[in-house]
Order: sequence, then structure tokens, then C-alpha cells
Amino acid sequence: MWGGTQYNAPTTDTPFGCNELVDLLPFVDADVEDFGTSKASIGGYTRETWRSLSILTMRKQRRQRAGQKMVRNISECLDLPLDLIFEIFGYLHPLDIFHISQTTKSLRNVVLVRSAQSLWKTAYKRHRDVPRCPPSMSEPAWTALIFSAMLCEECGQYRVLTDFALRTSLCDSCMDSCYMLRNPPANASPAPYPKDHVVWELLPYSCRWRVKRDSPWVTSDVDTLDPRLLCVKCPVAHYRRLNGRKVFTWRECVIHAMEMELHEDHDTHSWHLLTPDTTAIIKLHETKYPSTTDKAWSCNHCTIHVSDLVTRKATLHHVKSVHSVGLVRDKIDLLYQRGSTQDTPRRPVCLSVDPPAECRCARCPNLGFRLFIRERLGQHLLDKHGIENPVDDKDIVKVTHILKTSTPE
Amino acid sequence: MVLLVTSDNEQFTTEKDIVERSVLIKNMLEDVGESDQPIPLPNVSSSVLKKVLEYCEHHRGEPLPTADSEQSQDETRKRTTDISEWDQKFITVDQEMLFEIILAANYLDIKSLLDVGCKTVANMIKGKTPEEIRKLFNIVNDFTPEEEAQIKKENEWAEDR
Repeated sequence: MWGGTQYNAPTTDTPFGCNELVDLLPFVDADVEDFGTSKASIGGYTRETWRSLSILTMRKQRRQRAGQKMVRNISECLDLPLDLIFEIFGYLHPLDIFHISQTTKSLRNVVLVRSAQSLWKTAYKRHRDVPRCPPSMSEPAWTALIFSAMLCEECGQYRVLTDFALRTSLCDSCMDSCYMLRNPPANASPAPYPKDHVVWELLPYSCRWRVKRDSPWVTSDVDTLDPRLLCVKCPVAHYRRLNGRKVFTWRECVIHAMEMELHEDHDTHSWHLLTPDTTAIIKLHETKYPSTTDKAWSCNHCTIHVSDLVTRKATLHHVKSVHSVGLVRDKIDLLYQRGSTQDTPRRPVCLSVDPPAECRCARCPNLGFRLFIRERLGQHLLDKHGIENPVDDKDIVKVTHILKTSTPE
Repeated sequence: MVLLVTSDNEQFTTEKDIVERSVLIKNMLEDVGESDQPIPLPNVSSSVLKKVLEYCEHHRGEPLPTADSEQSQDETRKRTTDISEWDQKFITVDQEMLFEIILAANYLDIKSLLDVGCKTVANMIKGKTPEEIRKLFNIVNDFTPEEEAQIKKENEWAEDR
């Protein structure tokens, strides 16, 4: 239906690095809470407190200073050598440094040159209660974002929400002029989604609704991450000799949700997002087992077939004639390029839940690619590796499957 | 006993364990060894040195930050902006003296005193609006209204703009 979910040759690494996931989701600390909800609390702050973060911070600092003598003038401070000025500024709250950057041109240059980054970093280190700056942003930009959250960046309108995925604060009308409403993901389904459809819950907040004009942020970004999910609302079913749940791609989740709505089966939707480890194993199972007739084989001794993959038979012939190998062995003389046959449909995979398949064999190379039910792994260790009394960690590696769960709204 | 001579040629006699809170003097004494020669401090005036010695005397015997503990010490220094009650009273001086103490603490390399001074100044700046900070530093807003609107939007490193 969706023409096969393609992905590059799987490796033992995670299919999507955690950093990418963090970048996809609006905020470093928020991914757990924000996954699947729009009422996210970010770093312990609700959206409502975010609006007035600067006011709350100022109020707190002024309260601390209450009762102290008001200092009217410390102009001599700026006559100090620059390293001492930095020493002093390092004790300031990031909001204070942000305010200093708005006083005069010369002071702005002092705190906004790249060599002043250590100053900002120190201020953030000394004020742990301030949400830390994500690595992809500069400290000044981050400070401005979180503390000027009340004002629209374009028109200055009061009390607007900050969108952490877009990294701006804009009022509704400016948001419309700067960003356009995104179209429903193309080719995921013949029907367009209503605005409140569950598909949007799978995307970070801003990507659900808006995409910056000429922004590269499209559904293909989620396709690139290609996460795997389980439907929490579906009952555990018997499937391919297993009691478990079917593993969905995110596009399949959308279809599933629509079908369930059509049949009035699930009243709400909830999803488990699988961990990178589990996703990697699942993806290995989704690809077809090496077939001799696939044009997916290459010679391991030369590069002749790397860009032009051929069948196993042709590769065998090549290895024997060109490299004069007598006994041809897989993985030594021949390589099967996984994922290279793009028209192969993804094979549906079921994750055993009852009993849970949470173990991997530590004795197999690269932990193998099988997930075991504990008793079966005991049998495997005895049969394959001759281990009678397996020990956790040494023989058995436990796998956590669920990274997070979206809450039904 | 150690003999110190200030910029205005006043002589101070102090005990070794008091004056050794200054890493500069400590290193000097280690280099020169026991000697009756006075140590000249051309960057410190007598009124400031009196204050500094008062601080050193109160804190004598407290462990000095060593190279080993620098990391953890640095961490605790980073976290807290609190000043102890005695230090707070000690540093309640006029502006001129405050900055001279900071300069002297920096010159004499007395980390804890430098911290107290810097924290005190920082506490004066904290929680103020840009306009209030301008008043505090006695500086004038040199942004045009257009520039002022622009700087609210541009908060990147100067090199990246």
C-alpha cells in the first residue's frame, strides 16, 4: 500500500541515533512528555509558565534583594579589566546577561562575541534551574527564545506561545504569514486528514500544523527516522506462533488509526515507540531473507558489482573465474547487500508480548539478531553454545523495547 | 612574620599563615624562603591592604583551594551565589573600595575574596531591566529605535550576523 518502506542497509548501530530523535522532538527534555500530546510540560514548566518565565525570574531575584540597600551607581565596574568584568558577569543569571546585551552597543559587543560563550556557559552552569541550551542553538539565541517568550518576534504582540520546534515566538497572524499550514503527508493515504487527526500526534507540535515557507521539514524527515511503534489499544493476538503485537511504521499507524476510527474500535489512540535497539532488530527481521535470485549480491574481493548488483549465480561465477576461489563462502567471498532490492515489500513483524521476548544471546556474534523468550534462550544457549546454567549479562542480554508511550488525549 | 610594603609606602607586619591566603605571596615566600626583606605590593594601597588582611585573618586556617581540589571547588563555586554573613558585612563598603578590593584580590590571587567581590557586584546587577542596568552603570542608550527593534530579534553571536 505504501510501496515498501525502504531504508539503507541496516547496521548493528541504531537505525536512528538518539540525537536525531531529540532533534525531531521539540525540546531536549520534553520528548517524553511531548510525544503525542499538545499539552506538554517542558522541563517541568507548563506552556503557561513559559509565557511569563522572564517575569517570574525577575520577580524572584528582586525578592531576594528586598531589604538590601539600593545601589545607585557602580559605573566603576566597567573600568575593570575585561577578565574581571567577565568574572562578575559569570555570576549573573542568563536573563541578566541577555538584558546587558540590550543596554549599549559596546556592552552588546562584549557579551555577544563568540569568545564570550564561556561566560554564557558559566551562567547556565551556575543556574541549573534554567533549562539548558540545546547543542544546536547558541546560548544568546536560546536565552532570547526562552525569556522573550511573551512577545511575538514579528509584531511584538503580548502573550504569545513559544514554539520550541520552530524556535520562535510568533502570534497567530504572524505565524500564518511566516509559516504555511502543512499539507497532509502525501501518498500515506488517499484521504486527507482532518486537523485533529491522530497522525498529527505522531509529529512534533509545530510540524503537525505548520512548516516554514521553503523549509525542508517534511514528512520525509519522519520517514528518514523511520520509527517503529506498537498500538497499545489493540489486544495481544496470536500471530505467527507468537502472542504479541504487530509492529507498525508510523505511516501504518496512521492507516491503523483511521481504520479503527472507521470501525469504531479504539475510542482513543495510544502508541508505544520502540527503542532504537529493538527497532534495529525488528528492521532486520522485516527484510527478506537472502534470496539467490535477488540482484543483491556482490563480490567481496573487488568492487566490480558494488554499484551493479547481480544474482548469486553470476557472482559465484565471477568469484570462481576471476579470483579463482575453489570453495566459495558467504560473507567471505560473497556479500548479500541487504535493503538493496527496493521493491521487496516490508515483511510484517510481530513482537512477542506474552510471554515477553526480551532477551538476546550474548554468545552469538553481535548478540545475534533474534529476540528470545527467556526459556527458549536457555535452550538455545545449551544447544548452540553448550551453556547449561546461563548467567545474566554474561550469557543473556536484556532488551528494553519501549522507549516511550503516547498518552491518549 | 612577614613584612609588606604598600604603594603608599606603609609597612604592615602580619603572620605567615594569614598572608599566605594570597597565592601570590605564598609563592613568593616559597621562592625566596625566610627573609627579613619587606615584600613590595606596588598595586595595593594601605587602606585596601588593611581590608584584605582583615579578610585573610578571619579566614585563616581554612583550606586553600589546591590544584587537586580545583575541579570540585570550581563546581561548588559555580553553583552558589550566596555570600556568608561575615563576608557580606565585610564587603559592605563604598563603591571605590569594593572595586579596589576586587582588583587587589585578583592581583594577590585570593580566589575566595575575588569571588565575594564579584558576587557582590553581580548581585547589584541581578534582576534589573536593561534601562535599570544603564542607570546603574551610568551609560547612555546608543541604539536608535530601529536598531532597538532589530536587536530584539537578532540574538546570535556577533560573528554570525
